[in-house]
Amino acid sequence: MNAAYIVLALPLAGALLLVFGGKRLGDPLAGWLATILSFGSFAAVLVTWLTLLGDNAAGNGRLIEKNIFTWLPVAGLHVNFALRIDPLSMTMALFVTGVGSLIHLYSIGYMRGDRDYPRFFFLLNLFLASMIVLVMANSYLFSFVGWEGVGFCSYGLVGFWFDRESAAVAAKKAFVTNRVGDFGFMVALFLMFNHFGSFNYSTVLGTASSGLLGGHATLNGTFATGLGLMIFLGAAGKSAQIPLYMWLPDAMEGPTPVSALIHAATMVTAGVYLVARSAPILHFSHSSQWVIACIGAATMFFAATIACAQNDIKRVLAYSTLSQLGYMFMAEGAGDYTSGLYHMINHAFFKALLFLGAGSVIHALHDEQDMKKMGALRKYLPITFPTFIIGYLALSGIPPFDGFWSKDDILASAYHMNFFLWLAGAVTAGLTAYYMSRQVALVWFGKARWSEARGDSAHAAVGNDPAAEGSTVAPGGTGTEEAAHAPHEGAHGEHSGRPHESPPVMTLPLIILAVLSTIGWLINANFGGFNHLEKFLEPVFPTAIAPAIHVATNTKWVLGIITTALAFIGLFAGLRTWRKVEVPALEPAFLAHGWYIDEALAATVSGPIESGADAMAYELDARGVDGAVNGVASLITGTGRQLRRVQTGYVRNYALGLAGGLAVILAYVAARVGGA
Amino acid sequence: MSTLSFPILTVAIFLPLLGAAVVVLLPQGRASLVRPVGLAFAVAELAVAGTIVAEFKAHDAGFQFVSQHAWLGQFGIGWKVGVDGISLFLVAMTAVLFPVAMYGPKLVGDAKSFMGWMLLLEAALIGTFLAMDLFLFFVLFEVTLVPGYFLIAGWGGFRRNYAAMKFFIYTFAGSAFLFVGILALVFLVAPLNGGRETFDLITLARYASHLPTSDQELIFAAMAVAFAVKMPVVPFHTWMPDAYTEAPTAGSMILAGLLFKLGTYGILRFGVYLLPKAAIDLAPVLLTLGAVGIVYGCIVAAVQKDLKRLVAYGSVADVGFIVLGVFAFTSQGISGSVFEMVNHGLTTGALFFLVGMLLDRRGTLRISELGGIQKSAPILAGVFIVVVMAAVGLPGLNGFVGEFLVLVGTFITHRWWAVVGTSGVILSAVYLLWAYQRVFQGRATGANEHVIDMTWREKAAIAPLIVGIVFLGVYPKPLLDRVTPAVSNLVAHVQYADPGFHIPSKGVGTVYAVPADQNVNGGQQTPTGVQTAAVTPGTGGTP
Repeated sequence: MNAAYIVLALPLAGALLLVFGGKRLGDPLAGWLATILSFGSFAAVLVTWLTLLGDNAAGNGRLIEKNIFTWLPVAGLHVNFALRIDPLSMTMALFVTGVGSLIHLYSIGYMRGDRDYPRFFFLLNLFLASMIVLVMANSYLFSFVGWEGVGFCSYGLVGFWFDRESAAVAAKKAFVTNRVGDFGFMVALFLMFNHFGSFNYSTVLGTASSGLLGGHATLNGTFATGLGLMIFLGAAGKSAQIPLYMWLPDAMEGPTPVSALIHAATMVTAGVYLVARSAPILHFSHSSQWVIACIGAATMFFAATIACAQNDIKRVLAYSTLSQLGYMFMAEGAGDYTSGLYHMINHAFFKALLFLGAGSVIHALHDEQDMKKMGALRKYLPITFPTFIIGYLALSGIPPFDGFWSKDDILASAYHMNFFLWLAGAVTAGLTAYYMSRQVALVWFGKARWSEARGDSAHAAVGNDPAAEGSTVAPGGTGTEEAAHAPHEGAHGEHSGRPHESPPVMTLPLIILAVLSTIGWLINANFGGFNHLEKFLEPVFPTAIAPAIHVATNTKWVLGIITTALAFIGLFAGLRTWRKVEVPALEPAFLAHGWYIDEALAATVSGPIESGADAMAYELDARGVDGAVNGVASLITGTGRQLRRVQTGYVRNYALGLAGGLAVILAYVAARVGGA
Repeated sequence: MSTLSFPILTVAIFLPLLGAAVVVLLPQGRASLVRPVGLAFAVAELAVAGTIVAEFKAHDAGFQFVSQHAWLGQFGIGWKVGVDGISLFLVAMTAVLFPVAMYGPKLVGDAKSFMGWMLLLEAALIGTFLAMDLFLFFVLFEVTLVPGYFLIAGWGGFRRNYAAMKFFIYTFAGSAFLFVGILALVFLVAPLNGGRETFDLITLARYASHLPTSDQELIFAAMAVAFAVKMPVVPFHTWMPDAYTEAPTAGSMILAGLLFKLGTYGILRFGVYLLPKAAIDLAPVLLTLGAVGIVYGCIVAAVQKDLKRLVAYGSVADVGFIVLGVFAFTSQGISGSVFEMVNHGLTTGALFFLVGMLLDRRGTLRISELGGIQKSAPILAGVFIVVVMAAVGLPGLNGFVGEFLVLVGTFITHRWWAVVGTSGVILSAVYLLWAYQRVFQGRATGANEHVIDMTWREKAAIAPLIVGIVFLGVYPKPLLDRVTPAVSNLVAHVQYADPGFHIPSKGVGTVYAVPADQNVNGGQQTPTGVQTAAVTPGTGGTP
């Protein structure tokens, strides 16, 4: 079990080594160091997991805690840094370190030649360490440490190419929006401490031996709702749900491996994890379960509509991530935590695969991200192409790829909760297949539009394109990676304009993820006793807090067939429409601009909010408060002449005067009080 | 009490004073000696402070190393100094920040008088934190103004005279209230103390709670005004951005990092401790000012056009957190406030130092004229973002520990104020990250393209602050173990003074026995309703 410490220690050590010695290691040694430590961490998770599986003293409900040290000891508040090893934390840690390691490996190739190569891997290792803290912590508060740690790394990596204004703005936006969620998380922590006197999962949620909620038979419904909604506010910030979603599409300003690791596979699923962890609390609040399900469903549908009209290859995937996270929350709201988590794992596989594939395309086209300037790439990228197609089919919910299984489970549970939740999910499944087909058609099929668009002048344009600046807020626009990525360009200069397949360090992770996306059904397919995940997670979600959801087998079949049919319809509609030589203009501005919500918000912030703050600083503060102070001052000094005298060197006299005045006051008070 | 055979606290006060005298008396021809000698005294003082921290007994709530000497005995005034958990790390903080401020920033102008004023200021500051006699405290409290004034006026920026004068008059005016309050307290307590006037802190605390409530409230209000100006709390803050901004780099570091802790320390040590009943009665006013200050400070900071002014307004928000925690009257809240005072010294000290580096390099701090500096000065930018993240309250760095303890402690007794205060976590990110983005990110043009990165001297000088920021964030236990006992006893004392004010047991914690001569509640430290047992639910972690 001591391997659990190693899980955390390796990436942390990597981050420390890289922050002080990264420059000396340089490119690519820094990347290899980070990658090896990351794989080491994955191996340690495997060992820990196997030990946990072997731990059949079932009385403890498969729960082991490993103390690190005491962090905050203040009177009644006592917080330890400790790791919690249970089925849920192991499930999270396995895929976080597994997918994380693959993306580390990929980055060695992708970031080659970047000016700040060591800084990238420092942040990547630090991210992994923080993510491990988040999922393996034994208390809400220690999880919050990891929660904020990943937020910081996300900030650093979105703004990695900091000399691009748009990247810097996107990084700040991501951090600040997340902080709104953190506000909720913190209030949840306060409520928790007030009620339970602790932040520990074992105390707050209970254990197999202590019973639910640490022996509290029940929770007051209002309290549970307040606590549940505050926790969900935190989750909505991190997992980019309505209304805190708008940072995620902009976060695509970061390098593509970052988008894959942080903004698709791992960090954005932290909210899903947190809600799953809090299942015993939500069990006592149906209102908050409803809120979670509805927000999830709304985000799911809303983001999918926007994804249908984006031109940037990464923004399509970003909106798709929002939409898929919506599915996971809908499942959790419906009380089907296992399916939510199962979909999260599958999503990590296929979405990481799609992002890395997109990165390979971007790499091949010298940092072109506009799908309208791609096309017919299947001939040039013989490895990326088939792996991308697997990811595409998995995301679209086509059997037998993994996305189908988890989406099917989620929709059955949604149906059990409410018909309209299912309907939204089914329609979104069709939309998903449509927008992904559009992407596949534009990128891989049709006419090669890149040669005419880029030509030989591709390199000349680098860094001199004013249009690339500030393009974040223009949805559907192209936040290209070219400006700051110049060294990267240089490294591939010899390839001229012709697209080329990426090196093996980049294609190997693609192949592994494609295999995983294909065999994902082995984890928890709901037939033939393949429900391993469900059985493994049973101690975390006992029927007492997550009652089994019974949907008749026939109903399941009908639902499954309908959604799959919708997915196929979307698939063919998308492919047929967009495979043409002449690309049709089927992108309603309303969708391309994300329902204009971001623009409206930006206008509010730069308009009324900023002028309000200005008024506060320059009218209220400078003229009002300070004006009053200066007014009193000149009133007391009587004339400006005396004030000038004071200011030109008679300070000692003035101080003497004050001291004298003080003496008079002293004497007066002494006489009054002493006499009384 | 003391395990040391000599009065180390008195030494701690007089050593910098001696240093000031030595520096001033150095012959004119030996100008090159001024800085090394001054610095040597500051480092020696650091060693003394280190000894105090090392010898300080953790899990002890009382004053330690108390030393008492007759001084103006006919007026009930004595030289009495002692250190407890609340003041210990403020002394340590002072001893750390002075050498950094004297060594790190570039110094222009007359080094001799600069060093002299700095060491005098250090002596006065250390003395104020150690004083257990109200007269001694007041005298030293006032003495700090003089070097403060001359540091701003002598080495400050363009509007230094205005700023220095405003600083001096404003805080001096506040002090008048403090002086009246102290005298009133001394003379009103005298009849209860067998007709003898005394300025002794412990004796006053023993009898002050027997005064009529209205008297207590008036005296408390007088003290609160003085300390509120010093902190400064909104709306008494407007002298502060001027003073911080116009002061030289070293001056801003000391002023912001230390001098204004006198206000928050004062209200805790003298306001709450001496007059707990009045403190409870007037708490809603101060809690409101604190919560408003957090929001107001952040918003006004966000739209400042000058980087140094922005940092200065950020301090208004930090003070808001400290006030909130103090008037929560829970162990978590007050320990958090004490922690936050230390944090603020480290963080704001480092921020003003970094801003000073930018000023040296670019000659301006107008945010609109800066940009993209991370490219040419990556280390400066990296250190800056660490400090910014500490100020924003990123867990793992020191700021979070203080902020979180304050908020969780406030939530126990004053839920809605805590919720308003929590919005500070959003707003502080807004103003600091926006500033970072505009100054360090984006494309560099003009002079911003060639900013020299941190020099070795600057790295060496700022290193202790960064180490402190990280260490206290990761492992705050050594500090909390020393702070909490004194705080828990203070909370129990407050509860004793007003049993009608309910503090849940998880907000009080263990109450420790203190020596008889420091016991202020007649041997009854723990009235009914306050638990004495250590409340440590859910320690967990060790199967």
